[in-house]
Amino acid sequence: MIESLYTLVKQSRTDNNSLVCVIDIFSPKIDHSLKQTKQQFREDLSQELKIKLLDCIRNYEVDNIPGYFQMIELLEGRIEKSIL
Amino acid sequence: MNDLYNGYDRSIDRYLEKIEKHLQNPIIKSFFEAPGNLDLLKEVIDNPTDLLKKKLDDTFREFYFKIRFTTYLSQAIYFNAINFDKKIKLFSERNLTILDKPLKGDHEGTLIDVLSSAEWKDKQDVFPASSDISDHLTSDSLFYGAQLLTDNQRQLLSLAYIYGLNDSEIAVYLNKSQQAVSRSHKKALSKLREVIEIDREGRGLGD
Repeated sequence: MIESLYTLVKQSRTDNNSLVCVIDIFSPKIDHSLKQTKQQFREDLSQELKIKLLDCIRNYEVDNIPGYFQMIELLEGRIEKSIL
Repeated sequence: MNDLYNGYDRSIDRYLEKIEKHLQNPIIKSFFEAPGNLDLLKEVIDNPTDLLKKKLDDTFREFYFKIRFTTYLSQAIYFNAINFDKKIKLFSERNLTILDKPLKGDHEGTLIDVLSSAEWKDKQDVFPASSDISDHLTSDSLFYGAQLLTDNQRQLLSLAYIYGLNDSEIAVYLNKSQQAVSRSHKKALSKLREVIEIDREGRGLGD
């Protein structure tokens, strides 16, 4: 993996190759969850899951992740709330 | 030089003390456990420029993102897989094959269970080995007709329709001529047909 997950997800809004990369990264997890279903439906499930992932990745709000100082502030706020 | 070093050390200590309660937070904790990140924090405290602050911010964001995103996708995969299985199950319950359908009435189990049960098989084979044609007739009028035939004719019909022999084979078996067997066969069939037709007419009038 040359690019980090962060940049890949950011790019996948516009770049399909990055999107494919992200799905590939998660494919072992998909394969693992195929084991619970019957042999005849595995291919369907795999496709179904990839479609869902596509939605999830495209719609993920990358910018909502707090930076370090925001995080400290958030934690500070949470503690104040719990004291009150 | 020594003073400077101590000052630097003290400020990081002071800062860590200040955010001590947050260090218990698993995200923050693992962030500083990762190599290089604590050094970056030291640099920022030592020299709090916007550039360095932004670098720390971005490193943390990337770190936190990786955890949050992986968790999110893993759960999405897990729950969607479960939903998919439920959907398949519901579909197959609503669209059963004939053999898999539960039986109507007070029977228990599915049709395939009943068909494969020993009980059902026994019922089917009431006269499995019977060599008498009467035991194989299911139509009432045919059965009645068969009782009107001679023993010889019944035996002939049995040989022809249970054992599947043709007229010449029957002739050899009964030690008769093929013509005699053929005539007798025809006679038996026309007698049966007569009985059936009378029966059918009788029912037709009854309607």
